Amino acid sequence: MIELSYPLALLGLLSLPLIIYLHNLRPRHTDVRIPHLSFWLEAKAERDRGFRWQKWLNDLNLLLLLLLAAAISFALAGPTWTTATEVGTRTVVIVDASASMGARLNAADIALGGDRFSAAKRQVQSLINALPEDVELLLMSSAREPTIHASFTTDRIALERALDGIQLTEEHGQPGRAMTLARSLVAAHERSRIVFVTDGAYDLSSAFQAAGIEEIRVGGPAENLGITRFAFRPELSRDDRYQALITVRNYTERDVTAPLVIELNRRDVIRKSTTFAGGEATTLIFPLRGRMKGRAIARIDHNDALAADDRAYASLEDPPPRRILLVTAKNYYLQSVLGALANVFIEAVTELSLDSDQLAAAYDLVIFDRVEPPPLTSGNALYINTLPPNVNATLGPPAGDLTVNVRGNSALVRNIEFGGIRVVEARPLEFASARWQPLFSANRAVLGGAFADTGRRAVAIGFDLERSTFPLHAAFPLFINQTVEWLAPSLDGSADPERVIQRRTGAPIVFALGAGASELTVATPGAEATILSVTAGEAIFTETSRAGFYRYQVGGIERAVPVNLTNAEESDINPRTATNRATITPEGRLLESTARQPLWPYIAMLILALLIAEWMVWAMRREHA
Amino acid sequence: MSARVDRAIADEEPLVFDDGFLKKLERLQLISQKIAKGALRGEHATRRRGRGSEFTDFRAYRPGDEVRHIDWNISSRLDRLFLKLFASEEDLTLHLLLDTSESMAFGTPSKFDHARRVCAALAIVGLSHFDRVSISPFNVALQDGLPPVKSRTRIASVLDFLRQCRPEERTDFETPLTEFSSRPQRPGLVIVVSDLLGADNLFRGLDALRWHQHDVVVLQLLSDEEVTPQVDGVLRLIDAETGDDLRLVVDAELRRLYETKVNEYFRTVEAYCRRTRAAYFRAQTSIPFEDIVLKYFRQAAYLR
Repeated sequence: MIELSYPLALLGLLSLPLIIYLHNLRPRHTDVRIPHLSFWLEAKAERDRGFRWQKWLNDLNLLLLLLLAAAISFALAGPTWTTATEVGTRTVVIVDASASMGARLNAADIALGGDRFSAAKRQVQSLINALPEDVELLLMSSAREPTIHASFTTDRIALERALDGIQLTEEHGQPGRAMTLARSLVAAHERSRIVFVTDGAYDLSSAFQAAGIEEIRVGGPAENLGITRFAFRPELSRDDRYQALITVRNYTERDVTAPLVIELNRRDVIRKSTTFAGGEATTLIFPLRGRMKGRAIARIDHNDALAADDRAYASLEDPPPRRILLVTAKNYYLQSVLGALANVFIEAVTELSLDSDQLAAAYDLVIFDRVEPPPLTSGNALYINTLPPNVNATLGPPAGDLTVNVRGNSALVRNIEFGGIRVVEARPLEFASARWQPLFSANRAVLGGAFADTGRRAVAIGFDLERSTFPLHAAFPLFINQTVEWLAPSLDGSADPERVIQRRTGAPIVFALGAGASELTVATPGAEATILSVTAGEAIFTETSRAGFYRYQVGGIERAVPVNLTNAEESDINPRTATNRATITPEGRLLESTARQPLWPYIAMLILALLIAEWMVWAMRREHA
Repeated sequence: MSARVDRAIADEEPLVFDDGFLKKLERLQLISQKIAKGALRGEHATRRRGRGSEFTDFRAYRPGDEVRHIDWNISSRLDRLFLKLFASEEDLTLHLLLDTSESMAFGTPSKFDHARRVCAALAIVGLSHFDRVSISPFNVALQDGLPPVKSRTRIASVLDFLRQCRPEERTDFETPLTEFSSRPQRPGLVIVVSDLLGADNLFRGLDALRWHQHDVVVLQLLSDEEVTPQVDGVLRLIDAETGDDLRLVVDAELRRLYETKVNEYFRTVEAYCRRTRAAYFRAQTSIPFEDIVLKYFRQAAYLR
C-alpha cells in the first residue's frame, strides 16, 4: 500500500495539459512564396513514406514528457510503501540509554512512573514477558556506542537479567550506529524485526537509517534548559585573571529565569539570576580575579525535565611538573630554553652515576649533552652530539660545515622553519632501524632524528649546539619545547596551555604516565574505583558514562579529569523522529506492524531514466525531421 | 493582379530590342515543320495555281527562288532582281500562346518577361516575312488576344499588346488550349510559351492543338530557383496561385527529392512531345532570351 506524505504535491499533475499544449505548438516557420507546391508535395510524401515512424516518435516524445511530469509530481508527494510486518522469528530490541532518556515523564505519563528510561525498561520487560516461544530476542542498548547485553535467545530469565544490567548513561546518543549493527545481525533472516525503544529525541543523518526500524515511543515533549558549554581561560600574560564562559540553551518557547551558579572548590564565585530567552542559546562570560586552581562546577538551579545537563564540570589544576635531568658540562642556550618551559623541574649534573632504568624511574626525561650516555633500556632521552650504543643508530664521521635545508614529515617538527641553520663539524646520524625518523637534514645528511620503541623514546641531534647557529634561530626553543612535550608529555595526555581539561561522556580518557608507572587507579563520580594497567606509559579508561570528576592519583597527589555531557543535540529532549511505530498490546505482544519504506529514491531513478529516454527520442526526431 | 507582380513588371526592362538583335530577327524566317515536310502541301498547291492568289509584297531575289515570280518591271527599274510575293506561297500563321498565370511572375528575371520577349522576337520574325501572327494569352481560360496580323507595320501593335499583358489567375491548359483549337482557323505553327506547371491537364490541352493539325512547339520557361531550389530550414511554402501552404523542414535530402520530381516531370513532357512529334524546348530564365530565339529555334530548324 502506498501512502503519500504530501498529497498536495500531486497538484503538479496540472502541468500535464500544459505539456500537451506546448507539445502541439508548432515551431515558427518562415513564409516563402513559390510558384507551385506540387513538386514539394510529392517530395515530402516520398520522404515521409520512408519515415512513417516519425509520427510515432513525436507521440513517444510527448508520452515520455507526460510520464516525467507525473513521476516528479508523485515523488514530491512523498510516497512511502507501507507493508505489514509479521511477527519475526528473530527480534532485536534496542533500548535507548542516552542522556535524554533520563528526562522526567510528563504529567500525562506520570502514571508510568519515574523517567523515560524506566518506562522504556518496563516496555521491554513486557515484551520479554509476552515473547512467543519460537521468537529469539537480542537485547542491545544504544548510547554513544551500541552495546549488546544478550544475544539471540528465547531464555526469558537471561533476557531479564540482561535488561537489569542496562544502565542509563549521560552520553550523547548515536542511534544510527545501533541501527546499523542491528540490521547487520538480522540481515540473513527474512522474518526478523528491529524494535527501538526510545523517546525519539535524536537526529538521524539519513532516512535510510530508520528504514525497517519500528519504534516504541516513551515520553513526549518537555521543557528543558541545558548547559552546552563551560570553559575557563586565563587572560593573556596574566596569571591572576581568568574568564569563565558558559552557554545555556533554552529549549522552551518562553523565557525562563533561573539562578546560574559557578563554584570553585565548593565556594561560589558566581551566582546570578539570569533570564534565558525562549528557543535561544545564551552565552555569558564572567571575569574572575585571583589564581584559579581547583575544581569548578557550573549549575542551573532550575527544576526542568532533564537534570543531567544542568551541571558542567571543569578542572583548573596544574599538571604535575615534569622532571628533567640535564647531563652537561655547560650549555648556556639549552639551559636557558629549558628554564623557560612551563611546569618542568630541571636538575643539571656534570657526571652520571645511575643506569638507564634508575634514570627512567627518577626522571621523565634525561638530556645528554656531549657526554657518553649509558645504554637506553627504558625511559626517554635527548641526545646532543652523542648516542648510546643500543638504539640502532650511530654518529657518522665529521662531515664538515653544513647548512640545514630539509625538514622531515614528523609532527615533532611541524611548523618549525629550519632553513639557514649553519653547523660546524656536523656528524650526520646513520640509522640502522626503521624506528628512526628523520627530523631535519642538510641535503642527504640527517642531523636530527626521533626514535620510539616499547618503553623507550629518544631524540638525537648530530652536532654540537654551541658550534652551530641553531640556538640563535627561532626554531630552537620551539624544537626543544615540542621535543620535551613528546618525550615527557603532560599527564592526562593534555598539553593544554590553558590548563583546562575536559572530556565528553562516553569518550575514553587516555592517561600518559611515563615509563615508571605500572598501574593507575581511577575513581568515577559514583566513587567506583577501577585499577588500570599501564602499557607503554599509557592507561586508557573507558567507563565515562556519567558526567562529573574522574579522580586519580599521581605521585601521591590526587588529580581529577572533568567529564561533561554539554551537547546541544542531546539536551533537546523533544521527540523529533518520524520513524515507524510498532504496535504493542498492553500485555506486551508485538503485533503486526507496518513498515514505511520511502519510495522517492526509486522514483528519482525512474525520473533520471525518463530524462535520458526523452533526450534520445528528441535527438532522433531532430535528426529525421 | 498582385501588387508584387505590378512592381516586378515595372522594375523590368521595357520591351525594347537593340538594333543588332532586330536586324538578326529580320533576317530569320519561321519554318513550320509540317509545311516544310509537305504535310500541308496539298492546300498550299491549290492556292498557288493562281486562282485567287493575293499579291502582297516584293522582296529581293535570292538564289533558289523561282524565276517565274521575278517582277521584271521593278527589277529593270531598280536594276536588281525582285520577287513578287503572294499570300498563298508564304502564308504561315504563327500562333503564340502565352501563359499569363500568376506563377509566370516568378524568377529573376521573371518568366513572364522572358516569355514576352521570346513572343515578341518570334512575332517580329514572322511579321518581317509577312507571316500572320496572332497572340493568345491564357491562364485559367483563354484571354482576349491579338487576332492574326500581317506586315511589318503591325510590329508596334504586337509589342503594345504584349506590354499590356499581366500575369494573373491560376493555371489551366485544357480549357484555354481546347478553346483556341476550336476556333475556325487554318492550321499553323503554334508555339506554347509557358512554365507548364500548375495544372495536370497539359497533355489534354496539347492534344487538342494536335487534333486541329497545328504544328506544335512547346517552350517551357522556368526560373533557376524552380529547377534547383536553394531554400532551407523550417518553412511554410505558399502556392502563389492557389494560396495553399505547406509546412515542412527543408534540408538537402528534401531538395534532392524535389529535383528528382522535377526531372521526372521534364522527362514526361519530353516523352509526350516525342511521341506526338511536337517540338519541346526547355530553358531557364538565366539564359538570355536572345539565345533562346536564335539558338534553340534555329537548332530545331524552326528558324532559318
